[in-house]
Amino acid sequence: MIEFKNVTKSYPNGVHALNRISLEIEDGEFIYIIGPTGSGKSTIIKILNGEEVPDSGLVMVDNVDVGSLKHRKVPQYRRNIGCVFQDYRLLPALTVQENIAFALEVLGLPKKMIRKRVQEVLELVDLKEKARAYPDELSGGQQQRVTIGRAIANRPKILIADEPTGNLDPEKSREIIALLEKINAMGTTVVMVTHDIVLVNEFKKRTITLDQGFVVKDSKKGGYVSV
Amino acid sequence: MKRWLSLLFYEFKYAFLGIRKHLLLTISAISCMIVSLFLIGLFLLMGLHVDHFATNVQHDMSIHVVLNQKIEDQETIRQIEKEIDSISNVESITFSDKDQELELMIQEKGEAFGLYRGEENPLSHAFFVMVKDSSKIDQTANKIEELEGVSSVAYGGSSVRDLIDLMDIARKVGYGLAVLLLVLSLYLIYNTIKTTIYSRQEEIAIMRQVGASNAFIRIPFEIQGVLIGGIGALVPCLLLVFGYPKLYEQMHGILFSHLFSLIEPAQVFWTVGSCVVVSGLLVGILASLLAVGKSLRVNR
Repeated sequence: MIEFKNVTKSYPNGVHALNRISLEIEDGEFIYIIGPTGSGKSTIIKILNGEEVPDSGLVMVDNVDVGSLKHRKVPQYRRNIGCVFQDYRLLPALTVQENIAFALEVLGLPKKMIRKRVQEVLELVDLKEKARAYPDELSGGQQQRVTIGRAIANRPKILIADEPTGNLDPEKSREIIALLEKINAMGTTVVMVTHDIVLVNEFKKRTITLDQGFVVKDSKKGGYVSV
Repeated sequence: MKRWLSLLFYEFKYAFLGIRKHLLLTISAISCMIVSLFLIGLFLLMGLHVDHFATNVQHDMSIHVVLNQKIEDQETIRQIEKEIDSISNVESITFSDKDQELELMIQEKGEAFGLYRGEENPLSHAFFVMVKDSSKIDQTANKIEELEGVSSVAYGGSSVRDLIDLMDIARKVGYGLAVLLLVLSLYLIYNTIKTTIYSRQEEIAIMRQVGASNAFIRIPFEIQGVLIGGIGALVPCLLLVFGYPKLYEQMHGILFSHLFSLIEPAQVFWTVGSCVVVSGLLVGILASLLAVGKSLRVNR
């Protein structure tokens, strides 16, 4: 379970990214976080990911106080969180299967187990025939599927996605959402930040709308409604 | 245990991947290491030799004590010997009678003096006195000269002491340069690793993102550092180990005179070789530790 309690975050340049935000996300949910640029969507992701620390308030993820994590404990925490970015962030020197295997190698899993899991993941993200390709040989949609594969390889309980469809055309975006739904159906909580209103309206989920660092709407029904 | 082993395996895999990706940078770092460690080895060799020469010279320094010509009886000679021996800085004392003195003179000045052999020998009996501390040789010589029955004393004098002083300076300069080069090579490796890390900053962030611990990120860079230092040390080590015996042979173990005898190759092998290898490895580890430590903190 993810819980935000009165979380405030501002940046050194004076921007108040989050203002006393409180949220609760249950295990196994699929939620969208939407809002205009500068509304604080990405800050929520960064806090969940351990990249940023809230100024005040409490962020609990699976009983871990994310705000008080020490620098060297952050990677360990992230082993339970899969993260997907708009700009993919794949290792360019490694092939698709090596990129996915990498997330398991850092945990020191035996080779045999890694090979098996990588095959499973490749099948799930439908990239079996691209296993030996390098990231720069893939299309944007394919690269994003590799990132998702890498993020879930370790079977994290939570998957957070920061504008995963930001660089993709509508058709590829739908494929990505379908993939995320598939992952969600297997029990993973999915938190997705987006500003793609078409998608939000097409695949209706719980939708949290942010504006200027405030939660302005939290709709269980989903869909985008102008406020 | 199993997990530890697989982790180590992956560490090596990523260390070699890193080297392959930054091959030119690695090669340039290794060449820098080779040159500086070779120079360090040379300076060390120089310092060791100056040390060696200095001990030789000091060892060879003795006071030549010439007795009065009138003194002939064994009793007086033994008396004087006892008195000299009681001076604290005296290490040992050897008697040299007037016939031996003549032979030495003939050896030094030529066969012409041969006609003094026998009854005509005008020389006196003498002693050769070895001292413990050669820097106090002048004081010891003065003390001996004051003794009754001593006609004159002679030792290398200030020129020998100047030589020893000069050698001391040369040794200090040699060791100083070696240390300076060590610092320089540390800086070179540090910069190389830092450049590789800089170009891999994004990679490090991704590694932390997928849950790689700081140690997991750090170790491949350290392996790289050790490899650079190790290979950088191996080449100059081999050069010195195979080159020095050749030089030793060519010069028949001496430089100019027997006073400057060279150090045995086996001894050089151990001292200089181990110094070069150890400093290479240490520099490699230290430089990469410094370089990674900083970069890890950039991203949370």
